[in-house]
Amino acid sequence: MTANRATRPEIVLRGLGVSPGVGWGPAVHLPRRGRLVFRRSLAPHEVDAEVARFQTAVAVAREQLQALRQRMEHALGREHAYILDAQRLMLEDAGILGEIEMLIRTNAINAEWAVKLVTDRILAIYAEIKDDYLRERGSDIEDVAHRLLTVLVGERDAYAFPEGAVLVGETLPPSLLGELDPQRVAGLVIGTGGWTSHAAILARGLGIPAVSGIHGALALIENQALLLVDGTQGLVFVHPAQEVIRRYEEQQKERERRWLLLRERAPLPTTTSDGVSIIVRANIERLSELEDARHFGACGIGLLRTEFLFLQAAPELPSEEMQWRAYRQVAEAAGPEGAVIRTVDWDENQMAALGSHRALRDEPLVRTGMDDREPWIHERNPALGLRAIRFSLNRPQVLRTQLRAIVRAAAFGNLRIVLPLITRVEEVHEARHVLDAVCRELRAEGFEVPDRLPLGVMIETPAAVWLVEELATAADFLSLGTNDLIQYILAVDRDNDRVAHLYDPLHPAVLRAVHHVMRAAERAGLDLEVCGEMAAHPLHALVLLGLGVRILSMRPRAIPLIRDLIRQCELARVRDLAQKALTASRGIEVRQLVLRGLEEMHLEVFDEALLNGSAPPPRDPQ
Amino acid sequence: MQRRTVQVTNRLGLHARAAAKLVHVANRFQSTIALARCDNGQTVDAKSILGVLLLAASAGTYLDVIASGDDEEEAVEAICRLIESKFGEEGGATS
Repeated sequence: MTANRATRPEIVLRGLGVSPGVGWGPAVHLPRRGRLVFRRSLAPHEVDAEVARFQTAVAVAREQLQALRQRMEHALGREHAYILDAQRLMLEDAGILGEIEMLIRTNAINAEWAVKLVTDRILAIYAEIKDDYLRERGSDIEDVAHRLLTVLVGERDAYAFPEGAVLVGETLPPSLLGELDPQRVAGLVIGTGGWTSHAAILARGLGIPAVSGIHGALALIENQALLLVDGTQGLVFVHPAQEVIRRYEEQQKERERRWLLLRERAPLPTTTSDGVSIIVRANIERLSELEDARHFGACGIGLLRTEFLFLQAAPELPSEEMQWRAYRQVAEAAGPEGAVIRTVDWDENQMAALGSHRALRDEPLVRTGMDDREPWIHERNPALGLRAIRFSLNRPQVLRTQLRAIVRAAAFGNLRIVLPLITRVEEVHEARHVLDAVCRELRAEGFEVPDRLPLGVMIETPAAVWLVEELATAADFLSLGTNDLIQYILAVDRDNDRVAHLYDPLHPAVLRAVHHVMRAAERAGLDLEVCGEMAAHPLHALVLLGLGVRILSMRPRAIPLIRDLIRQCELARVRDLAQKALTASRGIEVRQLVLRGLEEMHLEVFDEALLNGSAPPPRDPQ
Repeated sequence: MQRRTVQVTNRLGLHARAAAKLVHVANRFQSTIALARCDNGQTVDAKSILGVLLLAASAGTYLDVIASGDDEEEAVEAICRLIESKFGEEGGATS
């Protein structure tokens, strides 16, 4: 690696920084279908067994396809099932199978690698085909290869890659998300997907630097090339020059020094300089982050995202038992401040990507005008589709299972429930109805059920903003989910790097919506917690405090920084600042206003990089 | 050996579903069956789905169907009929 560093010219790629920080290491490609395959040489006596293993895998894959075809034929009719015939025939193709077996024997390599070699060769031929439609059929071969490799590797096999690697892929397959370990992954380079993609949220939660929007990342970056990922600025250096690495190393040292300082101040109370107490909680993506929450001084869990359970259980649905165990762990770890558990925020496309939609087939379905076909239909616009609370209410059994698990776990700590993507008051009433029924049931079964389990509403759609008075009557508390709220108010998909620069948390429309919700919460005497990236960003958090927010929930790693900011700021002055911001007409004005305010108040924000990097700054129009 | 030339006329050409049908038909016969593109001579095994797909025979392509074996005549006949019938997928309508 060092040998070629001197000879290879440095290439700088610009993307979207989706998880701040810097990391460097050798590039490891993630294949498009997300199966990492490695070459393993066999001893002569292992070869026969390996061929047998391959033949067994082919048989299993064939059976899977056959079963899938029958279901498809039943659901969609014979014509559509033919598409699977092509795949089944590939698994019966003596030419392909023979070639793979021959490779295993002559090269003495593992079956996975042989499958990869042969399918890669075929795909390369496909890529050359002039006819668009036929060229696209390469996806059939990819599908077959993926199915075979999945059988060979075993459904739940951990990904193996060298320690300290930078993972490079067009997208990060969901099955890989659970395997990310900051101890082993130095950084991520993602072709498509942005700030709010699962990969980005998880990377931020784990503190893994990540850059997305590097289109054609796999083609641009060869395997094993040394990469430096600057997730703060959104830069990827391929074969970075020696002095670039040195510069980053120095920055890293400086950051560590400041980080230690922040940690020393951690025991101090979270109180503004004029004596107002602010509550800072943690957003949790997965159970391993509970330790981080405690470590960074979180005051309870402001948001537990439960999608990880569905990821882990895929292609099955998470059982009540499995969920209950997880929630109990959260309840016990959260302490007296407790935890807010969000019902699954998920859409059926995501379920389908995991294969979990098959498990849904046997679940009762509330008719929503869909016909009797396969209950799952690929949605063209999942952000506006059957997701979050709509999904849960449409799948009463899934919701009941999740609520039963939460209620049972509530005996072990202070738990609250929050409903995502509410747009109608009826949704809150319906969910409460299910929750009451579940509580009655569990009592009848002899479980210890708390007298009262607070039910909250996520304010993350414009509809919820304008209905906030009514929702405040129906709910026990309010939680402002800024990620989705900003996307829906500004009609910007932050995962689309062509418009990501228009995603601006300081847009006056966003601030006025927050202001409206805050006042309604105050009038109703309800807690309003802000969870979402906005709370974790120093500039944005300052404005939130000025607008009256007193509870912020954020990724654990951001807690020390924000608490330090709170301790420095004088709330009266921040309030004036926020009042001015409400009258601004452009996001850039608000930004400049807040930056000036920081200067005048002599606030020291610890990581300038975070100021500039953890959200794309709005472009200043000429 | 039997050989006959046939033109692919269905709109999508030898796409996945059509190729699957063709392989399915070819596998009913004992004879070895090959398909060859008349324009560049590329020749594949008609019993191999990948081979047939890799022909990338889009609409308008002329193919030679070549069979040799005990049932070579029936084989060529059946495969040409399948291709000429547009794989039974366009309801006979030309587009």
